[in-house]
Amino acid sequence: MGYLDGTEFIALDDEAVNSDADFDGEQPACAATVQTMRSNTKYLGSQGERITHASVSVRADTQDESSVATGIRPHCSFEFASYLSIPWVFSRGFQGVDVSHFARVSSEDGIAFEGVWSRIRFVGLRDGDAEIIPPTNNGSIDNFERVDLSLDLDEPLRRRVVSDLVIEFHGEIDKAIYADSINVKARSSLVLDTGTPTWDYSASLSDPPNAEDPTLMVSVDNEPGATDSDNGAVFFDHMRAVSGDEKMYVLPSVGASLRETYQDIDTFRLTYIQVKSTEIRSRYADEFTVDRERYRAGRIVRSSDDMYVVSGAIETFRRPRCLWIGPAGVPGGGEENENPKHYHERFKRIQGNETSNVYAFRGSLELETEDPTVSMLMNCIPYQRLFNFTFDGTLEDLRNQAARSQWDLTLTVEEFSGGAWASIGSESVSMDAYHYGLHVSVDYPVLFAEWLRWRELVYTFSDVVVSGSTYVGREGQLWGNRLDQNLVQRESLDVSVDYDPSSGNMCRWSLEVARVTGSEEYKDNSKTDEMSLFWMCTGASLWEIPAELS
Amino acid sequence: MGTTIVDKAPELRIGEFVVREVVSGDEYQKIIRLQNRHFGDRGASAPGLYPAAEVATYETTSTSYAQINRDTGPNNLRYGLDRWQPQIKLARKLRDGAGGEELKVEVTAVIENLDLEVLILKGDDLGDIIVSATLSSSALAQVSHLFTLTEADAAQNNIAGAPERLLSFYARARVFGGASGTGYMYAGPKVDEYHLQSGDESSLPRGY
Repeated sequence: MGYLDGTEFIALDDEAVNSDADFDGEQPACAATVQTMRSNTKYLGSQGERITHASVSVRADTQDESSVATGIRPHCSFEFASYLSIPWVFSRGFQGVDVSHFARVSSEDGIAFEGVWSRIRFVGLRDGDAEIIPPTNNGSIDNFERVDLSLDLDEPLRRRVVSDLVIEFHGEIDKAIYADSINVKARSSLVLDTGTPTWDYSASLSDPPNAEDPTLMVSVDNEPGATDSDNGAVFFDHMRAVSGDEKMYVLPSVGASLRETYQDIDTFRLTYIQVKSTEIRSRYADEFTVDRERYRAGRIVRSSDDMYVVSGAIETFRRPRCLWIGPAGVPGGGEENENPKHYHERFKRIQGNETSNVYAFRGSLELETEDPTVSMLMNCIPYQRLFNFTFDGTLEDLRNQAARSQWDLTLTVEEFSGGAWASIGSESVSMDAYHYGLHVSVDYPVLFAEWLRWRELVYTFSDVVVSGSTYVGREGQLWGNRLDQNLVQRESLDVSVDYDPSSGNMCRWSLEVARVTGSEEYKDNSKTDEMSLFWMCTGASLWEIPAELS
Repeated sequence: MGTTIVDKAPELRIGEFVVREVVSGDEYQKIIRLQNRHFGDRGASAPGLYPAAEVATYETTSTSYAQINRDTGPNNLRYGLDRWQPQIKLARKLRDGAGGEELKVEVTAVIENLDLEVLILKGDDLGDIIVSATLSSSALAQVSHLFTLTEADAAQNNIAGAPERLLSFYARARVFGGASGTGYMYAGPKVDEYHLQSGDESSLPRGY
């Protein structure tokens, strides 16, 4: 660290420059003062936002032992699937992110394992390499610990880009075969015969994550001589068993040659990660560097060099500041027999019969600047809950077959002032949604998982719960090596708020969603129930955009 | 005069810095004030509890400090404060009264008839509590507490100068004064690295 090299901030007095009144505007700033301003511009420019994501179901505790891991939803799959997939503002000069998870990496086998694989992606900009996260606390007792990851662009961004920031995980196969292994046979390419015992996806699994939980396992079809995916073996992520039946839906590994039936299949446990919270810290490149030589004594300072200081100070101050990322998730079901106790669902859904505003999200705010714009970015995958829909075609075909409807989204910011809440800004936007038909799919596992979620939650897709459990299964994941990301329909909403930061008043915000009555258009006239239409948010972020300084 | 932290960003215009024109000293002062303001905003931030209910984020009838009020009922009663445990790394060292360094983090909430206890734990060893405080109000009010940590508190293995430690936040609550009735939280607990305000000028780093 050196003095005035932009690695630290050094506050200046007002008297560091001469005011007009004192010297009639002559010699306003000495070289040392401008050097300090330059260094401060560099320091502030390199600092990005620091925002924490804490899901609703973290099971807070003052201890970090594995005994307090019960009820915290594990992230586990054979393939990369997202833990967070959120819209993100990558401002000019963006260089990369550092991510800290407070997490526990474990396996229900309890034997030595390498860890869980993770990957950060800036969609369309850079996909990070897979990195192994070793077992937290190395071994038999897997405590919660801090886990750090990072990703950098090859070179800083030259212009502002809005894209997705994605954090993905996938498990590692434990070497020992599952103790109670059964060799299951395939019923078809996406369905395995589970035989006896019936695989237990019930919500009543004790002390989840549970050693008998099929979503913490993977099945492998070992063709003769095959030992890995490069050698012809097909791996199946377990999507969901079906209540009252001895079959289980599976997702074959990417690139596998799908067959009607497979050979005998072995099952192994997978490693998993439980995350209590995640802090994202973005870093910016040194976009405002001016060679100190240009301020050398005895040399005339160029005005263009001074402009770096001025424009850099303004640009970095006005950079969008992240206020919240989500969805935070939905707490475990209201009844004891729903979800393994305390497991939460991650995506937010609103049903089409909601035609007056309902809250999708609410949260607390501390605004920093005067009269800023509060901007919400949303990734949505609306869908139509269909039972017998089959599909084999392009994304365009899927859109052409989708039902359409319009949704009103309203973002409101309130300030707590004088002992009461008062609105300081509100704005609405109409979203024309394509409601993709849910179906069993290898290309769009998010629709597959949603189909299974409803298949088990409700009886024949009505809205009366008569059987099954609400076990979360593969809910809340976008599969990074498939086409899920292409389904995302983006929406944004800006609200100009009237706020005085000197008040220090706390704010809160809400996003309300309602479907516009009569806006629906169905492609299949036999499926015209508005209750089959859903608005689903898979990722969102809220930003404060400081106002112009003049 | 002296060092200034303005509450609002000054109106700084690049148009005042014109080639071959004399630049007003006041414009340079605006750069200084904008940078001090910007530094005052810097830092980590964590969300408050996500409100599951239409009215209060959280409510309790417990007369002793607890996270969960009961096993049945609406989610904000069943799961309460055990749904909230953010972790942050503090970003910004400030000057303390003796010219050394300290870090500040503020917890804010809007509550009514509630005692809200907030603990800061070492994120790498949750068994150790660094500091705790209670935010209380019988009336509907915004309440906050400013935690001041030493550099060692916020550093790994309590070694000043080591990389920043992950700090973990934990909260529990009871009805105000442990009396009967119902206590409410309408927003928060919101965690932010302290936003410097006018009057905090002595906290700004000076490079010596």
